Amino acid sequence: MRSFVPITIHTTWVAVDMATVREIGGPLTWIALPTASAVLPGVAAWRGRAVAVADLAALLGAGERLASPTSRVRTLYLQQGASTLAVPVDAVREPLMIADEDIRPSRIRSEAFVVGEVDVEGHTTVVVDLGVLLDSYRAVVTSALH
Amino acid sequence: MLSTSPPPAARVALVHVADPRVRWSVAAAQVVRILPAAEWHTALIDVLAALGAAPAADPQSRRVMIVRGAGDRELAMLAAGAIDIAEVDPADVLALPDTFARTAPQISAIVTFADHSLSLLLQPTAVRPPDDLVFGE
Repeated sequence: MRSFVPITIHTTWVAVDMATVREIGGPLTWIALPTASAVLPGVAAWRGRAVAVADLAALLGAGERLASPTSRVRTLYLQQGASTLAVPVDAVREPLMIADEDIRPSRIRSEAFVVGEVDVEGHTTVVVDLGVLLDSYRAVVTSALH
Repeated sequence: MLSTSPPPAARVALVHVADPRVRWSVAAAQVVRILPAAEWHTALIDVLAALGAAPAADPQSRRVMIVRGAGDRELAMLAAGAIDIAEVDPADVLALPDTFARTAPQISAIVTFADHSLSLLLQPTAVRPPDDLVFGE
């Protein structure tokens, strides 16, 4: 069993591993980087350092894209290895325990960062792997500029 | 009695440009002079556009900022927006995450302000002068 945090972007439900969540905060002030991608559009200040901002709407094709400097109602600060991401979201639900065997293959998404899906409060919820997400989009940012 | 706490870090003077595309800043020590765009008749660099942003639009508020680039060479950078000079605490200058730092050396950090607004700190020594640019890039 692992603990997951369900979040919503527009009408899309996503679950992230609670072990990666460092903090849940309010609206984020961030700044766009002209070199950045739609998925990692800019940076924000957090605990005395600059962290990358991830737009799950751009990643999932769900809802309106982030527009600097405003954000969404809540922000998840996620840690994967040495990397930290600020992820603005519309809502954060109560963490819940999910057994690995309850995560079924996703019927609606095929991206590498999608581990599978579960049902949360009657909604099909996409379980994502932050590490895969970060690795794939770090490569995109790098390749786009070389 | 001698204090054992380290002395406070000296504040850093920055020139800030309220560019409507994105606010940016340069260390004041690297700025040689600032003049109206109408008085400048040779090539100048729109750094944000060179990095992928849309070209600057508003000609009314344009100025040219002459900065010291690599090798102490002077660069003429387009400053599209209101300009002000303000000191900041070095602790409010935050280096970019590795994801971005390696790919955009022209942007060295973000600057955080008391009102929680942010600015991109440009590094003129990483900006390529116009005559180093090749058509088609």
